[in-house]
Amino acid sequence: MEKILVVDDEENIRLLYQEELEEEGYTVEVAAHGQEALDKLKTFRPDLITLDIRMPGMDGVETLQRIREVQRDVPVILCSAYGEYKQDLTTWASDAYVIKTSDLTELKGAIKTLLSRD
Amino acid sequence: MTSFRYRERQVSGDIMREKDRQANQLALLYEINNALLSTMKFEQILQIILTAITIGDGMGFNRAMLFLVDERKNCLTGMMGVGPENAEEAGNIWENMKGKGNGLAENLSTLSRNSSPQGTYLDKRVKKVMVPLDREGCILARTVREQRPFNIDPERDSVMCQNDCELSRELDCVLGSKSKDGDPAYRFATVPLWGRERTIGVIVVDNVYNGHPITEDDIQLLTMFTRQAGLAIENCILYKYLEDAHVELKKVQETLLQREKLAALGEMAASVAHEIKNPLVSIGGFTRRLHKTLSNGLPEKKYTETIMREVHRLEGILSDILNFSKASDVVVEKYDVNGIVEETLTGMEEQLRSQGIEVEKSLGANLPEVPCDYRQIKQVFVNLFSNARDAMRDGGTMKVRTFPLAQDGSDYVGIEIGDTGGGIPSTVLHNIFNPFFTTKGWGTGLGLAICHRIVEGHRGAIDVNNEPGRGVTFTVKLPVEGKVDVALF
Repeated sequence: MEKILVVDDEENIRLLYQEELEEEGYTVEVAAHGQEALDKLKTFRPDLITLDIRMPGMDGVETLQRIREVQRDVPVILCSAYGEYKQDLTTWASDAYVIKTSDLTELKGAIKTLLSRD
Repeated sequence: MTSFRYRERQVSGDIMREKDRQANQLALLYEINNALLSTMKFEQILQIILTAITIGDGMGFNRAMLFLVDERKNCLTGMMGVGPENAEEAGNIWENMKGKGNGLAENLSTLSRNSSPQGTYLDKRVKKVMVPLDREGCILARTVREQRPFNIDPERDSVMCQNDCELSRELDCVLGSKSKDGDPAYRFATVPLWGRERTIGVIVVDNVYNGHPITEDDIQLLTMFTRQAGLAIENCILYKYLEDAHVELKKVQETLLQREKLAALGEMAASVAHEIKNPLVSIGGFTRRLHKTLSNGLPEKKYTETIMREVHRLEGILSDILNFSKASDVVVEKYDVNGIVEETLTGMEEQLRSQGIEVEKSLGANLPEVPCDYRQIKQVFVNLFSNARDAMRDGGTMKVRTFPLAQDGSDYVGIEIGDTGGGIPSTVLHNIFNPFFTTKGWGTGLGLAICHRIVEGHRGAIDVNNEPGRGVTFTVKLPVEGKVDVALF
């Protein structure tokens, strides 16, 4: 069973993602900020990470860089309220960029594609 | 003794008359000058000048025509003609002029405000005339070249015009010869119009109807007058330059203000929208989960559907706002505008048809390709088509036209989108490109603001032609040789 780490500072979003993704059959853990995500990386060893960009403290883009330093090959999906960071070159280090909506079809599709790649 | 006295009295009588005449001339010039000072409008100045020359209380010539030097083309161009069309009309006018009683200055300025020579036979003819300044033998051209008046009386002078010049053809006066057998000889005079440093034009006068000879006194008075008239015209032209420059500046300032306003608004909108987006995702997301657990047929299922639909709508509005306020990727390549139009139309065909809207397409063949961001230009068309659609809730016709366009030395592709939706109330027309302005009662009011910004970013222009009661036509112009200003997005 593939493991997904959901990183988002909003509790309700974490809960929504967790429930929806668990329903799809994944094992899901959540982290409320970048540091927690880096900690969980070692213990939980996820197969895929969804990462919110706008977070207080260490933001998603910085967290992404730190994740890449530790674990180069884990697929990361950046999630954001809108396309603001799309032309920010540092986001290109992610494997997908999904704009948050209440309809998670696009996110689930991206997860499926990335996990079936390897 | 007696005879001496008599002679003396006669001489002093002559002097008195001469003094009187001079006083009258000065008073006349003063009156006309007052009238000239009453306006800065070019057409009105010309009209006052020519009316002063022809009005009975003024200099009383039958007709007066004004030509100005066009330095670029090196020619004289007819600007205005004032005078009756025929002898009968001339009689009527002179009759009406008599006994009006008001001061001349007042008469002149009222006249120039209330009646315009535009469209009269003479004026139309004069406006067609163009005389090259280097034309040999032409009295008009010589007046400018030699900077002196000409008083032509064919019975006295040997100075002849070239036959069959524009003037004689257009104005039915064969200058320097008899116009018709039996008519009095055609007499006319020309005086140069002096500006500060150069001759700016010529005034032509004639007595084509009453055949009165033109005296040296007449010429002298006319010359004195045209010195003032020339300066008035030159002032007026300078003033117009200034005014144009002022209008231009004001436009630039408004554009800058608009941009600043947009930027500030954009920032605010982005942060508000961002704060709203996350809770909205939760509301919508959990409603979807709830919805899945409800079995079909339950009334609650309808409720969740409503929430989902409304959340979806809100998300759409938010993405409008966020796209507007934040930059997105710009990919500039050369595209065939017709292709973008067609694709946009295909996507909307069903909606348009179901609303009873007929699409009239006339897409120009062989249009040059235009450098643009495909996605953005498509957005412009989507917004304009949607506006047309929304304006025609009860059906109508949407006209879409594309065409090549040359303007100010540059090539453009023009795209025209017209509807029959009754137009925009003229009281709000100036607002339509402002963000968050809408007359629809729904939507974000960002559609046209987005169009405006995108087209501006492409260094194009978007214009609106509003016909209240009928419909609106938007025209987008995109430059063929353009650099897209990415900084604007």
